[in-house]
This record gives sequence, C-alpha cells and structure tokens, in this order.
Amino acid sequence: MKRLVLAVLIAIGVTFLVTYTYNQSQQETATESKLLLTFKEGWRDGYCAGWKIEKGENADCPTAPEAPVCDDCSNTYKLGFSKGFKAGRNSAQ
Amino acid sequence: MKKTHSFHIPVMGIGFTIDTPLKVAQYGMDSVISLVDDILLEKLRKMYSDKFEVPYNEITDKIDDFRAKRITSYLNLISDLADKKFESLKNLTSKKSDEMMAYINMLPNNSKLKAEFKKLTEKEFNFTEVKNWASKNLVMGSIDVNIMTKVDKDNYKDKEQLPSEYNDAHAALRGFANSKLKSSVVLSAGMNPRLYSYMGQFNDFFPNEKGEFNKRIILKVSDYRSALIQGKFLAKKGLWVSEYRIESGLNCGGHAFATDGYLLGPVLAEFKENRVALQEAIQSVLVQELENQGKVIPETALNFEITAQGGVGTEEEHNFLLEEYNLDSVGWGSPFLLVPEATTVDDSTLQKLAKAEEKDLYLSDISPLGIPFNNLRANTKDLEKQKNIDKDRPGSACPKKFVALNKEFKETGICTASREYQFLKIKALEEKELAPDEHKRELDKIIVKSCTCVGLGTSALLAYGLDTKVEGEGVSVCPGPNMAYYSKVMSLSNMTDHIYGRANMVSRNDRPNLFIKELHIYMDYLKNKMEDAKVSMNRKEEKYLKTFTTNMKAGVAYYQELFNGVKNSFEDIKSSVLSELEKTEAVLNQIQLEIESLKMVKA
Repeated sequence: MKRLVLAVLIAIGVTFLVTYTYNQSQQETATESKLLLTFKEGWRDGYCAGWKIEKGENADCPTAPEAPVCDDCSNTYKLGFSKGFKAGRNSAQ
Repeated sequence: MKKTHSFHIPVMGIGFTIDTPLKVAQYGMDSVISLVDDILLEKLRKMYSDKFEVPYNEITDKIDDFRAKRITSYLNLISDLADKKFESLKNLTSKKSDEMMAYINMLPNNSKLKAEFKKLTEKEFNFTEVKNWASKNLVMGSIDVNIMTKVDKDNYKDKEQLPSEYNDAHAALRGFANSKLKSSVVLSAGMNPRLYSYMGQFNDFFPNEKGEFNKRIILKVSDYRSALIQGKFLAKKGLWVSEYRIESGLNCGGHAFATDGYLLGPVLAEFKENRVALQEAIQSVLVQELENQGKVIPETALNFEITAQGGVGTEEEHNFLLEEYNLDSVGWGSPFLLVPEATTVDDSTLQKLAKAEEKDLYLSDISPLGIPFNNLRANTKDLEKQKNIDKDRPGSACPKKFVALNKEFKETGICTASREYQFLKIKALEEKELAPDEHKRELDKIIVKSCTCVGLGTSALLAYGLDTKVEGEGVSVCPGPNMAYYSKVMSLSNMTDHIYGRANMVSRNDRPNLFIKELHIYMDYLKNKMEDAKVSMNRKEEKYLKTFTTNMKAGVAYYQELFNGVKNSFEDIKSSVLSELEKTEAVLNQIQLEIESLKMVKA
C-alpha cells in the first residue's frame, strides 16, 4: 500500500513538473516569437534610430532603403536593427 | 553628482506637476511634485493603481495620520512605477528601442553620455553591449517634492487641536520622510522654524560618513541673506541644505516674492562670490551640532548646488546663467505647461495658455495667502468667482481648506477666499460706514481672493476625467510672464531641443532678455507701490520704498557693467539693453526724488 501511495505521489509530481516546464517553455517561446520580429522590421527601425542619433529626435526619418539581402544572417529583428542603425547613421552624416 | 540634464522642472501649481516624474524621470530629468493636496494625491493613486493593476486600499480621512499616509503611499507608487519605466527603457528586450534612443537624443549636445553612446555604436549596435552600458551609465531623474512651509494649517479631531506634527506641512514632510524615495524636498515660501526643527526627527535628512543623504534639502530663496539665515538655522538642527534654488522674485510662476528690489543677476553674482564663505560658515555650525547630537560627522566637506529659475527662455540665457554664475542647473517652468508629455494640464487650459499674451498674464492679488500671484486672466476659477460676486454671494465654498489660515474671526482658521470669511469681513466693513470710493476699494480687496488651493489642482482631475463633484470645474493656473512668448503645444523633445539650442520654440521675435523682462516687472511693481504711497504712506512704507529703489539702482548698475563687459553672449541685443538700462536709471532717480517729496508733503 505504501509503495502504491509513493508511486502515485511520484507520478503526480512528475506530471506536474512536466506540465509546468512545458507551459513555461511555451510562454517563453510565445514571448520570444513576439520579440523575434523580422530582419526587415529591425532594419527599418534601426535605420530611423541611426538617422535620429545624428539629426536629432525631432528629425523626420527618410524612408529606409531596401533591407540588404543577407544570406548568412539569421532573420532577427536585432540583427536588422543593428545593420539598419549603421546605415541610417552613415546616411545622415 | 553630475546631472544628466542641465535643467530641472520646478513645481508648478498643485496639480500641474503632480505626476511629472512619472512622465520624465526615465529620461534623466529632475522634477518636483507639490505635496499641498493629499486629496488629489489619493485620487491619482487610485487612478494609477487601476491603470497599472497595483493593489489599492483607500486611505480615508477616518484613518489616523491620513494625510502623511496618503503622501507616503502616493510617492511610493510613483517611485515604483517610475523605476519600472526606467528599467524597461534600459532593458532593450522589447521590440522598440525608441525610449532608450529618446533618452540619448534629448541629452545636451555636450553630454559625455551621448558621446559615449555614439562611440559605442559607431561600428555596430550590439544589443547586449548597449544594454550593459545603459545599465551602468544611465541615471534616472530625481523625484523631488515641494512643501510650502507656511501652508501649515493646524488640524483638529473632535474639535480638539491635534499636536503640531499633524499640521499640514508637518504631515507632508513626514509623508515624504517615510517614503522610499531617495530624493529632495524643496522648502519654499519662507521660513517655518517649527517645521525646520521637526525635520531633525528623521534620520534620512542626516549625512553618513561619506557625506551622502537619503533625503536632501533644497531651499528655495530669492536673496542671499535669506539663504544664509535659513541655512544656518537648519545647520543648528544638524541639517544641511544640499541645494540653494534661487528664484526671481517676480519673474516666475505662481506666488511672487518681490523681496526688497533685489534683481536676479546681482543675487546670483552674490551667491557666486560668497559660495565658499557660505559653505564654510554653515558647515562649521553643522559639524558642531552633529557632534552635540552624537550623530555621524561626514569625513569630507559637504557640498551644495546652486541653481536658478524664473523667466529663462532661450538656450543663450540658459548657457549664460550656467557659465557666468557657475550654476549646477537652471529651472524651466512655465514653458513646460505646454508640454503634455511632461505636465498635466486639461485641454481647455492648455489652449488658453498657448494663446496667452502679455496682457493676459498679470501679477494679481487673488491668492488667499495675501502674496502677489502671477495669474492668467479669465481663468475659469476666476470666472466662477465672478459669477458668485454677480449673484451677490462672493467667496468660495472652500471644500479643501488647505489655506484656512486666517484667525481673525475663528480660532480654527478660515480661508480669506471662502464665503464664510468674506461674509464676515464685508459685514465688518459695512459697519465702518466708509465713503463710497473707499468702501469700494476695501470691498474689492476682500472679494478679489480666489479659491486657488482647489483651482490649482482641478486641471489634473479634468485632464484624467476624474470626479470633480467636490472641487467644481474651475481651473486656476499661474504661469510666469514668460508664457507670453510660447504659443504652441510642444513635445518633450521639442522642448529639450529648444533648451539646448537645437530648435527654437519661441514664437515671437520681440521677447526681451530675461534680466530686462524682470527689470520691467519690478519697475511696474515699484510704480504701483508709488501710486499707493501717494494715497497714504507710513514710515515703514517709506523705508521700504527707499530700500527697494536703492537696490534696484544697484541692480541696474550691475547690469550696465555686465552688459558692457560681456563677451560671446547677447551681442545682438547689447546696445538696446544698455540704452534700456540708462532709461531705467533715470526713472529710478525720478522715483527717488518723488519719495523725498512725498515724505515732505506727509510731514
């Protein structure tokens, strides 16, 4: 009987742990996917931010040029931003 | 501590800067919350708690020490919310990095932080690197509070007077002292010895070995003598003033203290000249007192900052003040009323402010405190007052009673803008049976008072769509004369660009230099006093007028020397300023003669 109770408790514990971990990872994935916006969006925002760092917060950003084709780039917002930022600054200077 | 910005946003009215830190502290800007109205603070705490889903328990006026507790709770909430905003700004995980970029872009051009950021991102914008750098280097703006020291009404419970710790200013101070804020309290509107002594009960106002404070004291003054007297008084309680905030006597918003005709320039020069002497004189008193009290004595000399405010309106004036007088910061007030990203003003008032010209801005007698008050003509609170006068029921219902300080008719105090006071006062006036002209003059002096302690907070309620059943919808607003030269609603970055000379938000090209504008206001003030003196003048008034005129003349002489010798500033206005000064000097000579002749007539 004791063994049965112990087995049931362990089973409940394991199920709880697995479910909890799964939920957490699902939530994180959801958040990540929200954050992992496209390279192109990052490029556009970064271009404007780079333009403004040179021209000032109130400057109107010009339309960003087409994002470069980047074969070895991961399709992340951050990378797009970084490249766009540099391009925006260079254009504004 | 080096400031992020070279300007600060002073307290404005009661409600206009009530949540300014929540709007600007994340960009490193210092601003000040008024602690006059705990009812308003509680309403805003409820609103923000709902908005940000923070648990809220109402602090009703049935709870013991409710005023101090409301203030503590509000300040803690603002502190938490501002911290969160700042953390989120530094933490570049969200899609938008706009907030961080706005922080950097709004910095002054010569900012070291800005230069460092540009260097850091020269080759690439590495999110991890930028985040680490931001977390180490970006600083949040200070969430300071303002206490009008003399708005310190006695309070009663079951008709029994409570101890002085429960007086309004005392409770406000306790509310701040018990909060988690690490910031400053601005003590304004003169000296309150009992309040200053009470401050000594809170350890946060005392320095540690390194000379650091959890809570600092800022003293708002209009002249050097006042700074010295108050600084020494506080030092005798073991308290150190960390900043002397010098405000122009008349060229400022709200209550105006004309002093004895001391103009801003000469006052700032006096502070500059005596900075070391002031520090040494006060520190010696402080150390002695800390020793007497058995408190920690700092290992190094304590420092203080000197800042100025009142009528500053261009980058040139801003930089001139910083450099000429070695200031640590310059206060920009009234123009910020047109910046909804920084202050809280209802739409209708905002439009009125944008349209205001010189003729709409005047030094009034409407304040129930009996102090001259810079006012916007035809504000809705004054219109409400006029309606009551027209109905032959002058005075306000006085729902908040924060300035119920007059004890002429009642031991517990009544506000001079209240219906109760005005009724009694008019009755007493009628009993005097004065001649019609004189009666009218005296009557006008009574009914001119406006219910500003309510009106100065109402705009915030209207702006947020909160209940105004008790307060009514009348708004008092108290911009300084400088407001006349700004005529559009601005963004926060418009305003910082203006301050740092990256844009020009002054809508007219006839704005006088700040010193000259102040001089005009003082001259008008003196001329009005002279008119009064022609009706009647006693010895005290005669002495006042003489001192005032002498100090004004000394001020004019100072400016003549300053503008003759100034290099790299004010080049385009130099000659017109000098000719203006010459004219003013002649008028002052004339006034001096008039005072003498008046004296002879009276004799």
